Amino acid sequence: MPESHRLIIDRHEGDLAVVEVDGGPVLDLPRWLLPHAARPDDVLASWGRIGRW
Amino acid sequence: MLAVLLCAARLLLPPDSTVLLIRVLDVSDARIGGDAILITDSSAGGARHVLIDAGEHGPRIAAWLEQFHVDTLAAVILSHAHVDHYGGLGTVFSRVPVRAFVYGGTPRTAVSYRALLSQIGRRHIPVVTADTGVRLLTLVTGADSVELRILAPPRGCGTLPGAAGGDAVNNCSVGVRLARGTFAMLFPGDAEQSELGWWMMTTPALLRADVLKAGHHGSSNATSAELLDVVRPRAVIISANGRQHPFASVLGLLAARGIPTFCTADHGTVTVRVPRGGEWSITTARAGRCHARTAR
Repeated sequence: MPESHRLIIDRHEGDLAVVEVDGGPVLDLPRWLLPHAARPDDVLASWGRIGRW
Repeated sequence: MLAVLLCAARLLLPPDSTVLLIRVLDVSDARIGGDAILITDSSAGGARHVLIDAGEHGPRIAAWLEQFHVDTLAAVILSHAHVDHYGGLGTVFSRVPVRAFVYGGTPRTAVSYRALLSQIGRRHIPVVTADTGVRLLTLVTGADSVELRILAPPRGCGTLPGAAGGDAVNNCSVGVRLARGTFAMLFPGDAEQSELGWWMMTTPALLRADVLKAGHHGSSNATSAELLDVVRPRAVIISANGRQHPFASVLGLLAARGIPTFCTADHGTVTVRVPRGGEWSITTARAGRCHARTAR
């Protein structure tokens, strides 16, 4: 069962996007994972597993 | 007998009891970026502390504050609203009394940022919104005083639209110029060319400094030949965790000018010591030299 998450983009750093997950932990995600037009302060809904890699 | 008493009194004083210490803390457990700077002005009568930013992780900054016996912060200054600068502040506010909070007033969507501002409100910590002009904070410790001039970001940062680009928040940094006697140090937050250019136009005299804490963790968009011409630093400190920062072009620019450069990613915590009536100096936790993490 996919999990739903609320992502808020803190900032972009090169090829990475720093995102706050569900108001708590902060992760670095590859920018290509996010919608092309996504910008800092955008709130995104995601379904699936999110973890560190 | 008197000599014995004098020796005993001297032994009771902490080792750095008569100096201004500016510690650019090693917050390298943050994934990207990360700034935390502890300013401690000491005299025989005590010490006053100011914190600029708190990195991303609360436990890390809390450990530093404990190590340096920080029991109260005269002020906390948040350079700008990115999590690698404010992420550790919640822990700081919950563990150490803070007399004033200074920030630029830039709004953000992040839940953690809004929770931080709520926490500050609940704790009734006086808030200074440095959104215009230059404000002066004076840190008085016994007969000593340290002046912190707060450089406001350009107009419009207080109403930054949610759709603003990532650089926009960096360019809403609050700058700090520390001055004690003839010594000065500049902390531009993560300000990039746009904001730095604005400060160069509006307050160029306040940018001149002996030591520059490089903007935006040593990114090429924050350290330029033009800025170095105005600041004329004799040393540069780069706070970065070493995953992406600093940039090769910045290290090359500084090396070409013969400016000694220190990086928290390579040197650990970097400490500027400014004794009363003596020459300032820089010491590092580890020996080493700065290595670029981004080729451009």
